[in-house]
Amino acid sequence: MKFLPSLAVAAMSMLAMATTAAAETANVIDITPLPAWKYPQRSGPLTPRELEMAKLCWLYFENNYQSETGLVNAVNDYPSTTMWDTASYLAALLSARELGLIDKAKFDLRLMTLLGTFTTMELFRGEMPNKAYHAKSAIKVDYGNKPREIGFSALDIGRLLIWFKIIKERYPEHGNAIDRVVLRWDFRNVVDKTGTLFGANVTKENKTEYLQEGRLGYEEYAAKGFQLWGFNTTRASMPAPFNMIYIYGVRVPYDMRDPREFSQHNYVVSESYVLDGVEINWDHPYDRSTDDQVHSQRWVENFAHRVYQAQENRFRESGILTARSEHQLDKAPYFVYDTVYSTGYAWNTITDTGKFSPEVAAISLKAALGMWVMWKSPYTDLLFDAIADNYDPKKGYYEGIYENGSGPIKTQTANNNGIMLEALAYKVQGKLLKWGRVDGGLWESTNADPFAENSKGRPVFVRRERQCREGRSSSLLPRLFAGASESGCADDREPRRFGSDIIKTAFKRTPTTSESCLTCEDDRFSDYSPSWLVPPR
Amino acid sequence: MTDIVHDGRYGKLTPKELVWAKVAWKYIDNNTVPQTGLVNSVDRVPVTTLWQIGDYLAALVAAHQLGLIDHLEFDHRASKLLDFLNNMPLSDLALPNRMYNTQNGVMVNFSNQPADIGWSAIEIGRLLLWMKITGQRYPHLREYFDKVVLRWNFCKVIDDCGVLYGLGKGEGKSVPSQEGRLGYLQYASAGFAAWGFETRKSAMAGPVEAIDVMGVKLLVDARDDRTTGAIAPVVTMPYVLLGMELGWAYPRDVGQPGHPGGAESDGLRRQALDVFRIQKLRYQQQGILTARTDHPLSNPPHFVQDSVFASGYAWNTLSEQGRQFPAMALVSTKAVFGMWALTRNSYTDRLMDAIEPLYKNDKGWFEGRYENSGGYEDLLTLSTNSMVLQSLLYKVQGPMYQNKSAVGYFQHRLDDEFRRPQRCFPVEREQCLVPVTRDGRSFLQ
Repeated sequence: MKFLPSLAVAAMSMLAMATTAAAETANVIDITPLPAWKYPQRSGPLTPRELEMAKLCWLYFENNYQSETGLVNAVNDYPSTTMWDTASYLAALLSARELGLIDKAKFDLRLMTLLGTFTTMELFRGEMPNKAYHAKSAIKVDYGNKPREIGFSALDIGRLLIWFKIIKERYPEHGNAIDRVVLRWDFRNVVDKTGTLFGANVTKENKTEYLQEGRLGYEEYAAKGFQLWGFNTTRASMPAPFNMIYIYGVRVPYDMRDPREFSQHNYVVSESYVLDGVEINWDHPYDRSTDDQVHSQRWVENFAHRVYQAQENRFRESGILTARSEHQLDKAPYFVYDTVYSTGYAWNTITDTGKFSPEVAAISLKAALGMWVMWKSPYTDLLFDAIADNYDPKKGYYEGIYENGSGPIKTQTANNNGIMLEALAYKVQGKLLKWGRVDGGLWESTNADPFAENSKGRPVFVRRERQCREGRSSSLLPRLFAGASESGCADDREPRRFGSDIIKTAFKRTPTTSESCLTCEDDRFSDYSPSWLVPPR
Repeated sequence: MTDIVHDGRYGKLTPKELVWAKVAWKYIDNNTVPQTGLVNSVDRVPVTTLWQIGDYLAALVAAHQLGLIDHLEFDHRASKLLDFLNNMPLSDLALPNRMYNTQNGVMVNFSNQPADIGWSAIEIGRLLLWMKITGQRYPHLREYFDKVVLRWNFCKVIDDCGVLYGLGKGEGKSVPSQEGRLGYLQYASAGFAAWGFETRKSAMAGPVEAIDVMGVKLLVDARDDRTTGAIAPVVTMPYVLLGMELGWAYPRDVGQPGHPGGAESDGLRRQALDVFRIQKLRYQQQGILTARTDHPLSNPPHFVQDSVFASGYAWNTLSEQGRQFPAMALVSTKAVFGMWALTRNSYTDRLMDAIEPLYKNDKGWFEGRYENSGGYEDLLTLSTNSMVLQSLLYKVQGPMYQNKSAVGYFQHRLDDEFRRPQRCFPVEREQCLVPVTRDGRSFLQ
């Protein structure tokens, strides 16, 4: 193509030329010409240097642990936390256990203390966890850590649900406690019938206000948390509405809901795609295959490669090492969305009020390490070298490294250190959501009881049809009404596997088992012909 | 190339179109100020910008070529204007001020108070181009247009490689700043190039990036309005003007078969047709009749960049300060006429159906029709009425610029190295060392 969106540099390296040219001619669905597509994930045991890194990350969670509640400070020495940061802590806890940094006793003690807090802590107006809690007392607080209830975040809760599910599958001995935590929650205002996610705010008149929450990337990632617990998230899980923008020759997808009309900005960052990769391996949430080289949710894989490639290309063309995510700062405005694209501009760095703050753009360590593990490339080798030594030996890894050269962001967070740890765990173990032997539990059975009062918007489960001996099949309902044996088969005396006949079928578009839904998003995707499918001239 | 066949519509005017032309001329007739020979930029408002002096020249040439005025009236008007241009007070004693009072010809500010407020390189570019075109078509006046240009000082408005600089003056300070963004920048630089200036840095598509609007890959200026403070909107008019006056070719390429510049001039044509096509696609996909450009308004904010794309968003309507005014979007009369003349298809027919009734016989053409209500914006401006005339001239004759190489007064003065004006004219400059790129990053050169 003739007009590359290029810088006015006299000489562009041949490599970069080839990259952008290849990207330009690519069919938009097809990502095969992007180098990102060919980079494998990293896998293998940790090198001593990586193990050292993991230990330094865990140091943060040693320092900031609140033994009264089991919670961890979201920011170093600041006793406040959110559900998102708590999920990052759970990620760190599990990763530390799996990497052998802590023993099972410590893992169990910490997890049980935390779950104990969750079973007693006050919810926002009796619905869902408040957006923030005081880490020492587990009292609902605002973002200034003053006692107050301020609403809930569906995205934060979605990430927490993913981590509850991962731990429940890997450590079924904690399944009961986890299920009881989730059974406390009232989901009626979080997910609606169309499968859209809603967060809650408190208005000036002290009323609860529910607003659609989530934009491309984070929205679908959080929706996977709800899906893993059986909810219908059809609309939240759709990539639409989105559009593509050319950034360094790559078409990068962004949410096209207009930030001028809605109060939410759209952010394209590495983090949501990295988390989806590390935790779910860019698979459909129900995909139980264990092959990490196959990513069954193909559009997520596709988009993730684009977001990665735009950042690598930026480095190739401009020389600026790039790994973008939202992150904390050690100075005002203290938090920025440091994006690949947001609200109309590539490489936009904005505060939550939308103020343009390019001077605090940074290499986000969690984004860099996440990219390092999901894309094994010379570029991520370089990113690794750039970040590996940016830590405080007593406090853990720094949040980031300023792009303008003014050194590290000297603050530590649970989110950053937690995501770095889970990235390292991915290298050793692959996809972190490992399906366990136990299929179903208290959550599923409670929600499969047709006589239980389901007043909290939870999904409905039914028992799977089982193949009985002599070719007769059964299901839960005939057993109940026909007085059949426990398993549903009249003469089946075999003890059934615990919980194995419970599956999720709530609100399904296809009335069969969940497995048949594995490709439905892709089917819809192929019907879907957005404007950018117009062939290039 | 364009004598027989050109892009878009061609042929004699229909009776209806002749009425359109007469209505447009009516505005100019009503607003010509006898004392100076200038025309008010807005109905009965006695000021004009340099841009609109260019508009007036275009309208005057078109009216004469279309037979609305006879040679006598043409010459009376053109000579009166030349008299003004050759005697007008200059900002910084170098170049025309941004605005003049049409009743007494003094330099004024935006409140019509006498003041020297600096110049706009973009507006000067348009006037330069039209002085060249008028001189080409009326050789008996050419010498006097040459003399207008030779009065000026080009040292600060354009550098050796063609970067254009405006000057803002006020409160004892004068601040030069790079002026022009993709679209108007290429148009204005063509005006300078028509007089022999090296403009490769402005003619190049410079820092651009591609964005996706309605599935079309559109080039936009990559200079960041958040850091530079200058909005870089994609609007229709610069591409209409480039098409109508230059056939989307660079001045030295005009009339050369197959364009020696080749692909580069094609780049400009392609960008223009994309800008038109995107608006058509919006109508097809969303049912919104769209013809967008920068335009004035009768109510605050008085002027908006009613864009195809600006500041990160498609279909953004912004004030000069960058605030959003989505309710101020218009189906712009001048954009409709431009696209109607330059592209002949059912969409531009449809646009014309919507705009056709927007005039008053004794007043002229209105500015446009509000996108969100269908109501009229009944402001009367010189630019819109001039564009109606220019569009109809285009239909009859094709692109207006003719690449005639006869040597005239201007060239003789510059060739005589003992009588050069010493004010940074083309031959008095250093050679530009920026290479002329051929790798596809340039638009025109």
